[in-house]
Amino acid sequence: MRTDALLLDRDLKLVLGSRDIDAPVPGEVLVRVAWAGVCGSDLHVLASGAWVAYWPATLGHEVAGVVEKCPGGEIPLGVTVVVDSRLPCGECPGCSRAPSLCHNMTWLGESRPGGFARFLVVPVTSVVACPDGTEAAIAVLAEPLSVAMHAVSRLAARPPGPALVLGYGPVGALVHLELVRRWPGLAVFVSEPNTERAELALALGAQVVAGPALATGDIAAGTGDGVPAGREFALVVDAAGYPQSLVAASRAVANGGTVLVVALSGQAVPVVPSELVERAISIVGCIGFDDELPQAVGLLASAPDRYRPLVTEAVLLEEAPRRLAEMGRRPSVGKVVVRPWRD
Amino acid sequence: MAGLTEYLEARVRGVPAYRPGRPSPGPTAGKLSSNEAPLGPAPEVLAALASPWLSVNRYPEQAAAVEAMAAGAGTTPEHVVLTNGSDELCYLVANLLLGPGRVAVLGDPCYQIDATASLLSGAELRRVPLREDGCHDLRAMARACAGASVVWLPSPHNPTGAACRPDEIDELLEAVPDDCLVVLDEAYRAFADPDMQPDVGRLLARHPNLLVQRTLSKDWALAGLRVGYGIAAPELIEVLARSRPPFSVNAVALAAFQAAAGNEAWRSMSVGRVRHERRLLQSALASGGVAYYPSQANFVTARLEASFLGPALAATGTVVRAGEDLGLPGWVRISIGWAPQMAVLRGVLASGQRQPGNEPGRETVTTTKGA
Repeated sequence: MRTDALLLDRDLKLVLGSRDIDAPVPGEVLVRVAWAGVCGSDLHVLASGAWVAYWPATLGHEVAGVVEKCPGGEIPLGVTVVVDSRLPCGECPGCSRAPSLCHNMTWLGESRPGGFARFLVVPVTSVVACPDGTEAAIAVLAEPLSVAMHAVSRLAARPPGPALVLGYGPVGALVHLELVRRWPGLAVFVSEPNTERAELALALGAQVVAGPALATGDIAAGTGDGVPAGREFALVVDAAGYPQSLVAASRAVANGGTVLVVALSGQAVPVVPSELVERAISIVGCIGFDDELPQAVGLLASAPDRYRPLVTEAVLLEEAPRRLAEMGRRPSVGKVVVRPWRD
Repeated sequence: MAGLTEYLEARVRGVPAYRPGRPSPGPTAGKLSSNEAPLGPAPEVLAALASPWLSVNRYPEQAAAVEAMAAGAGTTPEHVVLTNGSDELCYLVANLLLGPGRVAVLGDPCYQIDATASLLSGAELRRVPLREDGCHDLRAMARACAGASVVWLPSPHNPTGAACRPDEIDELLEAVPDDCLVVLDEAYRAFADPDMQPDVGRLLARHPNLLVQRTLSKDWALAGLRVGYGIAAPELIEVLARSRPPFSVNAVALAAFQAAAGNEAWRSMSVGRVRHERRLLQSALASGGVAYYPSQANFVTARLEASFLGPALAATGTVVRAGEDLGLPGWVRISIGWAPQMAVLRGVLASGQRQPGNEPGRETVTTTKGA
């Protein structure tokens, strides 16, 4: 069968087109995509072609849709599901410990056609059914929320002091919401130069530091590199990934504190071992998620309005090529979701 | 009993029954029929409503809320009266200033509650057709004010979303006789461009016959709790407050407002999202050749038959308001909703335009300054 799809070819031009997909066999489901979220990694692929194993590619690994066919009958037709983005090899030493530690991990969209398409065929084990009544446009946040939940789970305990989040894109915002969900009352500060993102942070209860001059909040004086002066943070989350953001995060964290790195930055930064030792700083990385996807679905289904403000843009299939192409120079405020089919 | 029935029927003869916007057949996000706030209230509001400190065994205490509202409006508490939704203010004004033998001036079509309150009082309605662009014809309204007691002036207007220019409002106030009250309903003020928001402090200082009407149902997202307020000269406020039931705004609503007032960023963000989605919808309508009133409110009213849109929208769980309910047959009023819902709606519009023989009217799009 053929499906409407966004196609990315080797020339890195994103176009509206269609592609063949195999009909599902027992053990697989055909999902009619309702919404597919745009991830920062999609933008990286669009700009670089990195990680793609087939051409033309159809990206999109944050997917919510409806089961259209299920030959094995494992899931009733019409059920709203979210799709697991991970494709671990299942055979390496990393996989023996946890899927997120796979040495050969690939992702939906990069090694096989993803969710920027009307239809998608995936193993039935790669979908999580949503409770009745779940809005697909909320459920599409399940994958990035799982990433945020997994990142926060990398912390050993509640931070003993305030947290600072560098960068308030979708991942920074989800990490913020997860921090305060898990530890109510935890003071979360946000450093974000984009006015609308900073306003979103304020609206969701964060304190904005070293951000733009907003009309609607108290902004503390910063040091000019995104880190507020005069505070010690027990936790600093690097969700920005700008050049030297890890250095800034390490400087902002209190002695004995943790820097949690969730942003993908390829730039080398200096590490001074004696500083790590003498200040007892932990730098913690994280990738993907393990068993968080069903929990994320549950959270989104039970409290949709808590997460609703994070979806700030929705584009139709025909609007998507232009908007995605310009997102590098005109970033979104929050999550952009694509409705990848025409009526 | 027959006499009572006949009397009551006569009292409401000509008064249209209010028909609220229909609910969505799917998730509530699909309800684009009542100009509600798609993101809901600030998280602090929900926390306040669940607070153990919320005493429902005590009569509500308004002073702190009035003070906060007055401060937010750039005035002082003696200039503010709190009401059970802004609609209560319509009835207070009608009870005090209208009645048999008196005249109310209003646009045509009008905000329905203005007409209902006026008709129930027994007053005569003097309707002034809107301009082609959906704005009030303020010069014609000024001429209609001779001998009138009240001018109802929603701006931005419901059902068109068009706003009067501040200098035109100035001119109207200069022209209206001192014994005629001008009720400037600013329910949708927050969604208007800054240069379309009149300086009400200056207007109130010059015109003691001006009453500014506000609601917390739109940008404050408290429609279900019914809170509104009026701003006017202290003498008028005192009379309005005296004629109003003493506790018409309940304690839950007051607590919610105070919580909401503590998160101005939420309101600003919500308004910004609505303005962004409004631009996208108007752009989609324009590119499809669909006539619409350029809106300064949280809705757009377009020349589309509800019968054309309805079934396709219903299939997506979306409901809009038929213009027949609002005095605009042949039009629909589309409330601005959450981004995914608005994308779905744009998709339905685009799909309809692709269907042969199903094209909406291709007409010149109405434009005004500030569109």
